Amino acid sequence: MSRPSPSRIITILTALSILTAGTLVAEYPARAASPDQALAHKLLGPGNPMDPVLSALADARLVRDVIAPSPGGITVPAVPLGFAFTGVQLGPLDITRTAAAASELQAFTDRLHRRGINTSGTAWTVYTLPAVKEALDADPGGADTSGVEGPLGSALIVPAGTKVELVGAVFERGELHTKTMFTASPNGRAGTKEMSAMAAPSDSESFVRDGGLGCVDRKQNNTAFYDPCQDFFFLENDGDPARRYWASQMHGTGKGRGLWTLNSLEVSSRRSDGSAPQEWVDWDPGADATTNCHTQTVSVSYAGAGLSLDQQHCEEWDIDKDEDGADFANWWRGHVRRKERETAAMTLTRLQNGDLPKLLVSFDYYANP
Amino acid sequence: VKPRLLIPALVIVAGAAGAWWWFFGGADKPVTEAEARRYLGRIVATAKARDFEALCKLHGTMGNCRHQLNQGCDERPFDQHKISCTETVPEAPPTVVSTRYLEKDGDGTPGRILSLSGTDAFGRPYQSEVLVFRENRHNFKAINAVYWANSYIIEGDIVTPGGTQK
Repeated sequence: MSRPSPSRIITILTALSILTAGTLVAEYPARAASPDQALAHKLLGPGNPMDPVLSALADARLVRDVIAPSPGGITVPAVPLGFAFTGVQLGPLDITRTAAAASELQAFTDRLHRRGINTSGTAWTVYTLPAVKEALDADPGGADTSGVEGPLGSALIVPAGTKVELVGAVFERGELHTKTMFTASPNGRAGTKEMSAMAAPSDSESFVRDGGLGCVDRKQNNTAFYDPCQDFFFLENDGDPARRYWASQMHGTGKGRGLWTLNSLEVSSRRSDGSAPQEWVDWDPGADATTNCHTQTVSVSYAGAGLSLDQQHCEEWDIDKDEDGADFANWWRGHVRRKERETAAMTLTRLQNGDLPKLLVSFDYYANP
Repeated sequence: VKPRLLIPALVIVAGAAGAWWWFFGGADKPVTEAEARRYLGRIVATAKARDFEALCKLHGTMGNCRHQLNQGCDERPFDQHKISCTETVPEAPPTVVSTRYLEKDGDGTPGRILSLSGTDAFGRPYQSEVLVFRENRHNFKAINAVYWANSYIIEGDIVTPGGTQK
């Protein structure tokens, strides 16, 4: 499962909201003394909470200008802590007519196309942006710009004619925070027609969510609380004309209250009585395990396609698997006070085409003094 | 019990009961629609500010919130080039289509479910349910604070793609 690199300033996609947004930046009387403070308060608007980028801008902690790339160049020097550029300052960073920008743009539009978003007919402007040194130090691998997401380490891509009010980033508390603000392009909302959804083309196996993310109302009493969730996925293009493959993902987080000791958290499912039979394909965790706290990937796969979930595994995970497809449970067991604990389980079963999995789920917890 | 120990013991018991009442008492008081809408307003403002750490503090648990941010806004969240909810925060606030009160059921938590609809930053429509409940007498929390992630509240014991049953 790929993850965006924390050092890569991911502003290219957020900028797309220009196609559906109206004017975002309200006029707001500046109350601050310094130009940076005045700009931050103007951009903030009334009633909105301060975010890390505007907060750093108001404190004059951000780099406000960088040297433009040399003719034909595509990179600018990395900056310490973060940066904030207004639209005027972005002008010299426009690299739209370079080969690297074309390649970045191709990767970007391909990504949208795979998600069923049609961008044909939309002209784009590509700005190169500086990397943030602290983010590079925290994730040196993120500096590698040879990845499949495009050749530029950091970039802003917007529909041509978009007026960018601010693009900024700040590295704080081990995370890179980014912000992009803009007003509508001269073409107004005409661009939204170009963004109309279409059927997502796909010719390879892929797990697709069915029915949204489901979470249960909080289970709680005076001793503990527990927040569990469950989602379904089916395998697209499974190559099996007679059957369909269904995955169920269950996970939950619980915590003891006050002096109560949390002892167990359960995620459990079994086929509902009278529902279509299910045949086992895969499940995870595969066995009981007791361990110190670490992030554990829980996953199932079939025919080269898989789905996975990262959960914190502490103390014991105690599974119970039955012969009947989807009959599976994972209990976290331990003795902890005032600490969150997690459990998770995944099942993959196959059913006859036209049948839907129907599961009886149970999410229990237990705490004692 | 010696009489001279009785009074301190009663004081301790009364103190513990008072502390429990102060921190947890009143948690079952119904959440009004106005309270739920106000809390949703905080969630929406925090999401628009792209302060996802603060957003997840408004959610029931951080882990589930991060999971929703990570997986909730792409129907193919395991593909190499998945889209994260941090990229698709809607500019416009959601429309509250309807609300309903979720009664206490066993050790479930009562609260107000807001059914929402809107359009995310990619122009994709979403429909979600957000449950606002009282964590204690002072604080609210939400299930599905990532309100643009097409999430819903499981209300029964039987789950099937696209819904749940009692």
